[in-house]
Amino acid sequence: MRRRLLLAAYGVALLGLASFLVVRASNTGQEAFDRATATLSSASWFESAMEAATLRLRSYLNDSFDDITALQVAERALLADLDALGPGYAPLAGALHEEARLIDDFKAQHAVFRNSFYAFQRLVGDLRASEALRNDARGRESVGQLERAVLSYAFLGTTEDRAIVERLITRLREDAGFAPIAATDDWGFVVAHVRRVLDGRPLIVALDEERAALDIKRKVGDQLAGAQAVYSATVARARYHLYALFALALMLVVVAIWEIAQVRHYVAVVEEHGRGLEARVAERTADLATANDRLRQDAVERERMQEDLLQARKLESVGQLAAGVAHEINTPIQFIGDNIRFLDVAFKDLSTCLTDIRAGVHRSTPLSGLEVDELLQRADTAFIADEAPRAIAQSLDGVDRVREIVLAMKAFAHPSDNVEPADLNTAIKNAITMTRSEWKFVATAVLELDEALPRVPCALGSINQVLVNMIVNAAHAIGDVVKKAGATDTPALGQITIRTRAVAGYAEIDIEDTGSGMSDAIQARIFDPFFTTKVVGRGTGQGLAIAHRIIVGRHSGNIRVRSAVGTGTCFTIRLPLVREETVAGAA
Amino acid sequence: MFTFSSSRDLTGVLMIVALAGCTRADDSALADRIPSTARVEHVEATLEGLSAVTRLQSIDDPRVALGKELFADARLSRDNTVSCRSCHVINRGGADGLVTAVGIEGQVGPINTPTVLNSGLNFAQFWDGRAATLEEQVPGPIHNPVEMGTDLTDVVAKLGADTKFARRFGAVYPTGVSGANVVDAIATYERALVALDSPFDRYLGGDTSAISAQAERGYRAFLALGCVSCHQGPNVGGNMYQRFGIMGDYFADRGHPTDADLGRFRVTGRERDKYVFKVPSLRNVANTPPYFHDGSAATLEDAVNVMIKYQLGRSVNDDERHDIVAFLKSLEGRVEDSLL
Repeated sequence: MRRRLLLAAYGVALLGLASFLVVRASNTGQEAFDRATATLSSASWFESAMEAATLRLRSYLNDSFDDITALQVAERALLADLDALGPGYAPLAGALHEEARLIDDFKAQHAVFRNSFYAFQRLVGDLRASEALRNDARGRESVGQLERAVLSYAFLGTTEDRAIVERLITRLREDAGFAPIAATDDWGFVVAHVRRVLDGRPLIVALDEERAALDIKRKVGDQLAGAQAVYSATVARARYHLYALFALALMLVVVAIWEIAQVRHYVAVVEEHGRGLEARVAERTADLATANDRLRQDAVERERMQEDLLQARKLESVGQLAAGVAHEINTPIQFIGDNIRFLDVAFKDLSTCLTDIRAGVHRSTPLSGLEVDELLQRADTAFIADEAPRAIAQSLDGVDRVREIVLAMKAFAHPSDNVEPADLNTAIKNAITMTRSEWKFVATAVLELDEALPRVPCALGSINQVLVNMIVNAAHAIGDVVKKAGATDTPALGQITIRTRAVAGYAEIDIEDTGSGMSDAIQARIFDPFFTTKVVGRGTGQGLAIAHRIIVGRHSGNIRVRSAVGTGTCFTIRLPLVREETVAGAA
Repeated sequence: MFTFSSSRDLTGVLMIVALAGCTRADDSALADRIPSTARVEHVEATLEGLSAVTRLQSIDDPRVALGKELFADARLSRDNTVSCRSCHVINRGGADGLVTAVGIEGQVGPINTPTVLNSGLNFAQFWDGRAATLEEQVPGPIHNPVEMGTDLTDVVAKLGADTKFARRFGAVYPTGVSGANVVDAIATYERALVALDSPFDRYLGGDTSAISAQAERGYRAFLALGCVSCHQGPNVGGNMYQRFGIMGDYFADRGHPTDADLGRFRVTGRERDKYVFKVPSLRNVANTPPYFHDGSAATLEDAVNVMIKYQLGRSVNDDERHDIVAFLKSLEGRVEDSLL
């Protein structure tokens, strides 16, 4: 009992290790990398947009801060995304925060500069139209020069223009003819606005240069290179775990073979020993009582070893099944992953498109239908509308498939070994699911199950083992045929047919294959322990012997075989529907 | 003496004459270099800068009704005496009419209450922009010792203990009464508080009779004087920061400096952010006296005077000032009765 518990714990630990490795091997860091690249490309886009917006403002193409403010607000989501990517992205996030502050400064300084630039133009225009200057030709000329110099400075920012402006202001103040005008408040305003233009331009240029010096595009590039390095490292690690998984599977098979060889050896020794005893019984009847006693002990020993053999066989199938099931789960997981990555990209495009449209709606001139169409087209909405439902449907199929496998595994992993009424049809479906990787390349599986089959009292754990054995045998038999044919032409898939039915107090299960079939001589020996026709390493010769023990010995049923070379084999298992009391509970 | 004239036609004609009269080679080259969009006559001709407001948030969203209820709930303060609505009276322009706010136990705050109306359209919240979003803003007054003086966890405990309220809350938020949900509900209600359909919006929409001739003159003066340099966009402000006192030292002239005068400096600690504030929206401004962060301007006329002197460096006569005030009054929109 303790030994059995230990074995179970061993099995659970192995399954745990195998699933850990499967999970680690499938984590290639793809998702994190995709997230990082999407965020970084969006950062790069924002930087370009900011550059363009400041350029538009600096080149007088735009007076409104609505566009640049909408960018600032939208960029907060980007900063949150960067935050979520982890502390590794702090340099870029810091630069973007600094840029946001510089843009705030830029807007404030730009507003002041623009206001003074316009105010100057208006005030000077009014001045030239005023009565006061009507008769002052020299004054008019000076004011005209001042206006031209200020305009030129606003655009080119040369020190020459600046010097001209300063000189003109001084000269006008000192000009006796201009004195009455120079004393007015309005002239004071003109001078004040000229000062704001002179001071504002270098300030704006400096702020924009400070922003450019943040070199955000290069920082994005650096972070991208970093993300790529992390991604490659993660992929390498996943590969390493995959190798470990293979190694584990290999190790399990080796251990199983070794265990079986050991048991085989013990059995041989015990049989030898038994023969020696028989000889002694003949020779010394006086020791009969002792000899009998020993014989009985040996029988007990043998039984125990056979029990061990059964466990070793179970262990072997656990290893085989773990590898197969891992593979079965991996395929749907992969295409689910692909679909979700596609949906991720599609959703980001859609949400960018929505942001653009929203920003467009709040613009001073709202988006036209044509522009909205163009935004929608740019986001590939027609393609997304076509493809997204398909991706979702396919993913849901995949999820159903994984769920089916996991449910089968669950049913398989925790069967009670007590005899109790069980649904054989479900057991067969689970066994077919669990062994899929064994037969799917050589055969199709056809289930013709009698839905009215009553529940059969049996030890489901053992019956599962028999079913898996039989299905794997069938797959191997078909595989031999398919492989031979494969040398000449494309191999046609064989077929495994499983039928259930109730007949006069029994449940019957047919397991039929279109494999190589067996000669009469082989048929006569198939239930002998250690008899096998398979190559070394593929079978132990225990499968059918154990099946026989389980069906005939434990369940008082029987196994029949019908086979012809070149046609295939059909095993029929018969289990009584009513359990004899004497055998019940012998677990 | 010459006087300011806002007649853009005359200015424009004179400007062209002035440039055409230039004979020196560098002058004509200069005329080529300067894009027409930079000329003041172009700016006045295009009349750009302001646009109509639109709804931000469906008012049928159940969170709006819940947020409205929370907005008026005095349990959001320590001694259950002050609600958000105590200072933000929706049909009084979304503010309190006081120089500076009054919180629990009659404590007087350091700064003028900004309006809650159209606050969802602002690019940042508070005078100093210390909250980026309404969700960040909501806990501010709740935790401020001179405003509501409590803690969101205490508020949640009080509200959660009210079984009937908690049930109603749970119908809107399946996760029940929580700090995040309370904040979300209030912020959603605030986003719904956009005053729509002002005479000026109708004017922008093409109804030229929606505002008076005086208000229309005021609108042109608003653009020509340069107010629009900062008060721009659909919210007529609220999309940038600016220093108070560009063309003159406002704070030296006013005297008795306060901490609140430092503005955004208190958030960023940067020298260049001293006396810098978020440019407030001018929508519904006629209903929210007194004005400025210090509440120093009792009337719109006073406020316009201060702005023109310290921000724009210009002078206007009484008629022009009245025109601008008439324009500002046309910015008053309507809040749905269900939100009051």
